Amino acid sequence: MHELSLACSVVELVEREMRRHGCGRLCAIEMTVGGLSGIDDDAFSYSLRMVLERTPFAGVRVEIHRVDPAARCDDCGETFRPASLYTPCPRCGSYAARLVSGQEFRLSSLIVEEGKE
Amino acid sequence: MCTTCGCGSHEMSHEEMHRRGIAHGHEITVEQDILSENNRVARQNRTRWGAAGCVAINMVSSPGSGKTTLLERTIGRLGEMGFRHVAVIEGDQQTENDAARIRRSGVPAVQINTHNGCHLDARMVASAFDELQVKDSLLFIENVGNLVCPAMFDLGESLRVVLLSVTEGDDKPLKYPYMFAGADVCVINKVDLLPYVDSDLARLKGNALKVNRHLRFFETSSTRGTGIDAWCGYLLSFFGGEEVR
Repeated sequence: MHELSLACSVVELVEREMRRHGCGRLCAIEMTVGGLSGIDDDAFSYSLRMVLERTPFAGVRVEIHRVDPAARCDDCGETFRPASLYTPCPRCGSYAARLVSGQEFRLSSLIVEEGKE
Repeated sequence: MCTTCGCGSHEMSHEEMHRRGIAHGHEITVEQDILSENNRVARQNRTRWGAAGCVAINMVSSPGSGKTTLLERTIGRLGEMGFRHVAVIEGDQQTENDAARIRRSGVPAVQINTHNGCHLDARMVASAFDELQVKDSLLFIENVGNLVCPAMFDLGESLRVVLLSVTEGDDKPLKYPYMFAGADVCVINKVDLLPYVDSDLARLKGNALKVNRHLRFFETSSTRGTGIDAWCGYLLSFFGGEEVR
């Protein structure tokens, strides 16, 4: 359940960004999460909402944008969409592939409504 | 730029605000990696430990794979080989048991209790290192027994070792791939039990290599001492800088 401590880190970041910008009411938190990031969506969303309940941001919308994983085979150069960290290259069968996307775990943006605190 | 306070956020178009169900809004672009703070402290640890002449090894496994027993055996054998500069940071949800066991081996150990936490993070081990007050040492960090969560957290180690016992099943690397993908070394432990379990080392290694083709393997039995010389020899070479990860 590392999602809980990661949710705490997200909230710390949100608090810092809101202090830095110092205006408006937070409406939504937008996250980018790769399909092979090791983050369980449901556990993370649940944890984030739980942690937010203890802050002035209780009830804000959380939007999670998934990024499909992509890998490139080191042996033949084929690019493909891996289902796991050990999906062989569909062209040559090699396991020597490296992920080029799908491991993202970012706080992308905050949506703030102006004129309300 | 935001017209309310002048901050560097992006004004949203009318359509965008409508889509998001708000009257007047803006978007603050952050694009920050959630693990960036942990990674920053981990980099700081790596620098500090390097300056103190310490080489840190992060030991990860499921509970019961034999991390503490392997450490006891390793400390004993390294001592017989004339190397006594070892220190240990122990991570468990609760109890001081493992640190107490390690101290009985004659080396300093600090226990971290994570309570509700399922892994160690860079900040926890930074404090534990301060408490240890060691230099020029091989620093073992025994992570919380868990094959999922510790995978994401860099502690500042120079080497990550995943321990797997032969009783756990040959497909464990496929079931828990993140841990094997992030490791440098895989120690296959409890090999003395091979005659009694349905385990095939070639199949186990093949599965681990599908996830991470750079893994280096050691086969050990902490209770019988099998493979401990090769493992300790590697640790000394790594500490001396003759082996790279």
